[in-house]
Amino acid sequence: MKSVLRFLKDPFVVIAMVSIVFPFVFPFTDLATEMLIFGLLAVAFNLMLGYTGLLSFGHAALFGTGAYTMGILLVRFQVNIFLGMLASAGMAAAIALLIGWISIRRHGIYFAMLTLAFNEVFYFTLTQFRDLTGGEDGLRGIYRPDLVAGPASLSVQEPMRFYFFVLFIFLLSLLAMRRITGSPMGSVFKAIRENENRAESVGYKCRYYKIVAFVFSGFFAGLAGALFCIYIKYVSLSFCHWSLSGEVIIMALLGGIGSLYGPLIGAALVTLMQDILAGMWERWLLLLGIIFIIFVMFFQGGVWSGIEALSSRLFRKPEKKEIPA
Amino acid sequence: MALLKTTKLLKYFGSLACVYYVDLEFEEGRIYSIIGPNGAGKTSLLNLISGHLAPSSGEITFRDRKIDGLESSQVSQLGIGRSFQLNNLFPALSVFENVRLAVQSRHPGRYNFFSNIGAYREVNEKADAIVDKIGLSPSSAKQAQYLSHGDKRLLEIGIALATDPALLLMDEPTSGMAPEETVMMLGFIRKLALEHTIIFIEHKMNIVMSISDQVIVMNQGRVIATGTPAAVQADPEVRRAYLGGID
Repeated sequence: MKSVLRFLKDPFVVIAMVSIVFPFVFPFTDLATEMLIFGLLAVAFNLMLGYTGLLSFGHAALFGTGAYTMGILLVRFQVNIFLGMLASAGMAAAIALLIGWISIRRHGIYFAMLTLAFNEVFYFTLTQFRDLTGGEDGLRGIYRPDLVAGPASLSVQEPMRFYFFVLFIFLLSLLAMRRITGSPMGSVFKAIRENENRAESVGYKCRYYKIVAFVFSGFFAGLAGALFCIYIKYVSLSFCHWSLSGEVIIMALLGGIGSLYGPLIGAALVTLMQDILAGMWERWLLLLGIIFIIFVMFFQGGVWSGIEALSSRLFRKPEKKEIPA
Repeated sequence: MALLKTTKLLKYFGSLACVYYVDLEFEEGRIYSIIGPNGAGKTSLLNLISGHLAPSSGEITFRDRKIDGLESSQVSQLGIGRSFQLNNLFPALSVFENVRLAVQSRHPGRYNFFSNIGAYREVNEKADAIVDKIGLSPSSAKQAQYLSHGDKRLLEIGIALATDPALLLMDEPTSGMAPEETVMMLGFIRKLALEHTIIFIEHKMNIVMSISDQVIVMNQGRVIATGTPAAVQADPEVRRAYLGGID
């Protein structure tokens, strides 16, 4: 009984259960799918901001890389869906390696600006290769392939089925990122966030570890892009626009960058608001901006730390409280 | 053979020479202290040795290997540990984690990104042993930022120790400490000297004179005297430049 309770206290289990039940109580399955995809993107982004302390403004380029790679592979080569997703994530990881390798030489705001600059370079490069990317018209003719593994195949055209396919990839990725952040190398990421200078002084070549964090982040951001591509069956330049990078930052901060799962909540909230408010009021971004300001000023832990505080109050356990000296 | 040797070491900041043609040799197993007025170049010298600064010219060798120009992480990996004058910890991480990270930096498992952090028992056991050695076992789970100043100073040294340095560089280990804490730290440094060669910067003369084998006196970037505590105290130039100013 006790072990079941502990099992239920694991946020990953809670998130898995909630997201399994979610589409049955929430009437808009497509919107739920979108929430998962952006959740994946925001968690991937937070591997850098929350865990390594690196603010990237280039995640739209990585998301876009994933989406374009998937799209192009589908349109030109009718690639297997799993192979395509792996290639898209790998391609985004490669782009992250390139951007990271150069940007990581600078710190703080200069790093952020370099990633933003790369995002812009990437955006305009894509407009130039019209033959491959469709330029401003976007990439058309994308279809959602069936899940094919050997002789077995399964159609995911139907929204509910597609949701569960995305959920499967999402949970797998979340589990992988959880292992990364809990690993010895993940502990070095946190050390860099806390005090890069000291991490270097005890013998860690921080540049190397930061690039690795960037590559991991890029891999999962690319995977999110690939999923979005087959979700919406279209790839447009707006996927790579820097404003998406900004939106991801808002998602992460709103949800809370202090944990692996916080950004999920932020992504779900922003995606939901976007859908509901954008239909009612065209200046809805103003409202999002105000909410964002309030959170950054008064609730720096984001929604997640609120949930944590609430759950520890509900399941009040005899806590060994450290008294700050 | 000297463990560490500097040859014509020179460091300019703009046109200001903060370390000026310094030739020093450090033998294994001894305690060296560097003294001198503020701005004498003591910390800069330590920074040059530990790779936090690159010299303008000159050479530093550690175990006959040239180490000037290496990054601080490389210098650390060769066996030179460093503690800092201002606390330089991982503030939001626990005391244990602060030390564990330093231990892990020598372990091949540091590149592992898919096992649990507890997978390497030897790393955790050694970290526990070091937390115990610095006397912080009761606060092992406490975040470093909530420690008292004295405990932070101990953790500062504990992190440096956890990398198993042959040579330990300490920048004012007793800075800001109360007198009774200082006495305790003194005993601790003596104990460390049994296993490590130590170079430390210190302002408190009683400490310097009581535990150093050799004292190096710096002023305006130059080494103006080296020798045993007694010899240095008797040196007329030292009295003029430094000690004279105090008593």
